[in-house]
Amino acid sequence: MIPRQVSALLIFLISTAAMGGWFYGISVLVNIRAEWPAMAPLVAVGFFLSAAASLGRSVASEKYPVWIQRGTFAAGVLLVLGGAYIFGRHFFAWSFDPNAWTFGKNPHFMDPEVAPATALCFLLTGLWLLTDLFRPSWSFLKFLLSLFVILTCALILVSYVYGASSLYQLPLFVKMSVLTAAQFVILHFGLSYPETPEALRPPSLLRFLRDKSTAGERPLFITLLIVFSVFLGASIFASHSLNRLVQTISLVSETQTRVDELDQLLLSLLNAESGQRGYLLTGEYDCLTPYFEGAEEHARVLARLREWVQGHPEYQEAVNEIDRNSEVKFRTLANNIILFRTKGFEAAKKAVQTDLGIETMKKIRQSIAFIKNDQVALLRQQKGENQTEVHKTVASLTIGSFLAALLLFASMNLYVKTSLRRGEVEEKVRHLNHRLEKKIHEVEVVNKELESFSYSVSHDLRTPLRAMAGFSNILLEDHLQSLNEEGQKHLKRIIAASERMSRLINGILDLSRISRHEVQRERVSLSQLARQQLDELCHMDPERVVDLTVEPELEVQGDAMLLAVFLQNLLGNAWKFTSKKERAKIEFGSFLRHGQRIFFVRDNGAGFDMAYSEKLFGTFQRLHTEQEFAGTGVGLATARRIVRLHGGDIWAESKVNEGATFYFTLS
Amino acid sequence: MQGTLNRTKYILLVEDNKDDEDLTVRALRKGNIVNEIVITRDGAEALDFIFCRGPHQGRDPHHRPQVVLLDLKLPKIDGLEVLAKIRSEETTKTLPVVILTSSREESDLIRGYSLGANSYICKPVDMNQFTDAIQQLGLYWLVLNEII
Repeated sequence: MIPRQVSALLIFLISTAAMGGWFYGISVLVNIRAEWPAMAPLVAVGFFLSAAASLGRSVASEKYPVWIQRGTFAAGVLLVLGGAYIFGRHFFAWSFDPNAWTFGKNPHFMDPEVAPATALCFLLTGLWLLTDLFRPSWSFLKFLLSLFVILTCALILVSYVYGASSLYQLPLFVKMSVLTAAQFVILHFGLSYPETPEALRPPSLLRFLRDKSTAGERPLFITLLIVFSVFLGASIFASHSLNRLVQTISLVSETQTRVDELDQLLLSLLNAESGQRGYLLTGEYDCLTPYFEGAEEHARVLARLREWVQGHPEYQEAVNEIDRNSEVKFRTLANNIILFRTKGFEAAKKAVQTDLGIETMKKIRQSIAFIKNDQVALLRQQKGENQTEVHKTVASLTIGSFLAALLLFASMNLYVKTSLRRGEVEEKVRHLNHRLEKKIHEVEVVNKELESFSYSVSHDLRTPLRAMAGFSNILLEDHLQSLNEEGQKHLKRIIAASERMSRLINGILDLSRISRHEVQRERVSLSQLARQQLDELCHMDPERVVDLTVEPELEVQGDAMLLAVFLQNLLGNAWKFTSKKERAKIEFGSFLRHGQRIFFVRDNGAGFDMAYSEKLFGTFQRLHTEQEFAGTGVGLATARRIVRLHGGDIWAESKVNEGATFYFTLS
Repeated sequence: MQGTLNRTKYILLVEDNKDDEDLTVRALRKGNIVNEIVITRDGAEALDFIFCRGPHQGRDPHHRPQVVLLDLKLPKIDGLEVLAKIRSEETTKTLPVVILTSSREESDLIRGYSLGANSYICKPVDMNQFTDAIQQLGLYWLVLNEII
């Protein structure tokens, strides 16, 4: 969306400035450089329409509001019809000129012309708007329309930069102004870029420059950028040099023509003179041909010179002199010929021998020399300039190519280096992956061994344990008489110890099973679990009076089985450690702190000394004796492992005899 | 099946551990179960007995045990393999088999049931519990349960 609004804003700015330029006669706003074609005010109007439509398009995200739809439709139709009409006008000479009709009255608006290319581009813009309105899904067509306009106008912009006026003055491209071309590019960029498929968009340069992973490729990119700049700069400079070169060549040719003409002037006079002489000597009429030709040529050249001298008033006087004296000379020659024809050779010979002819010629020669010397000097100077331009052009091409080649060579080296490094990095990654896979395999093997170890523990350790407990019991039952009270007590302790060992083994197995369990995440209602387990505890011990509070609707994402075991441990503990209180109270709830949900299980039982809180969650660690409260010391270790598997943590606060609160988080 | 009324009901106990064997037998007797208890020491012997081959060749195949108490960890042929074998033969497919073992591993439970065990009992370490379990077991399978 943002490109559309920015582009519309830019176009409004440029076109408004151009209109201002027309109104106030500030030409720089209209054509930037005096020799470049101006943007017609009608074109500015066309851009206002297009930019407004583009803005309207950007405001409505999915469905157009009706008035924007109508406005866009009107704009589209106007642009299509207007563009088609003006384009056709260049070929069919229709009389109605919208430019003159709308803007002709203002003195500044003289001679604005809308180039056929401009009209064509407006036509395509109108088509784009209408396609977008009625067939928004035809994005490929819209893309093509914009692409055509952008490429054409970009070419024209480039031709301005390269000073290649031949391009923007080609018949179809007649005089598209640089402002017009620029605005078309901006307009269609804004229209089509948001809808361009990702594959056709240029890559994100910002990300390339900032990302750490592309740091290695940046030197190459910068070198290529420099190559590009050098090449661009050199080619633009060479293009302009070529333009100047062409200019100097035409100047040289002009001046050379002038010099030749001046020589021709003198030659024609001499030809006429020699023709006259020949006739006087031979009396042959044919000898007069050079005289007539000379006279004709003289007149022709003089006319050209007179035309030229209008732009060079400093030579006006000299040319006038030549004219006058030539006239005298030709009259003299004519008179001599007539004299010969009427009075004969002697009379003519006498007239020729007078100084008048020679004097006149001398004056003519002087005048011609006056102009010619200047022109020859000018010629020399211009030839010098020409040479300079030639050298400049060749130098810029040579140096530019050489620099570009050098830099390209450097880029190739960098590219090879970068590729090699990338290859190395990839090789390293592959190697690391391989090592990782091996390590994973080892870990899996160890896990398998651990599993079979647990299996052995559960099976093989229990069996002799059962025998110990079993036969001790048999002793107790069947051979009670053989034992005295002391002996019976000892036996009972053996039995108790083996039962405890069995519980310990169960505890270890439970703990290891928890670690091996794969955490499966699903919605689990902690409230429901807690209530179920508390119900069971009450059921197993119906005599106890316990105050139970469970916060409802406490749900988490976690493993149902693990969380059940977890709550069992905590609630079982609470139940156990409040067994000596008359009125026991167990509470399960939660609260928010810093945006994180913290759960707790609180009881008013025996509690523990906070000084030993470090040991609370250690495996087999107990803070009470077996006589006070039965237990393996594994429950809380298991609880902590479960909570940690979920990415959370557990901690506790307590005061001796005033109860304990166990807090926990899950991720 | 004819004449099962005349045949005595007996239990087949497959157990390699002498201690467990003694404790089990004692528990059964304590529960007033007086039926014969046939004991086989390993998987191979158990199969030989059930299929009346080898050292048990002369046995009447129709005289089937009320229930087979099968331990899992057995020498020669594993308990689960024995179960699989029992379930694979037409003649013995319907024989009630109770897995009696120390292991509470879920994998064993799953495998046992999927191979077709009728019941899975964990041998508790506590003597009283063990006795109670065996007695209940014996009463159920010998008195309550009907077999083919």
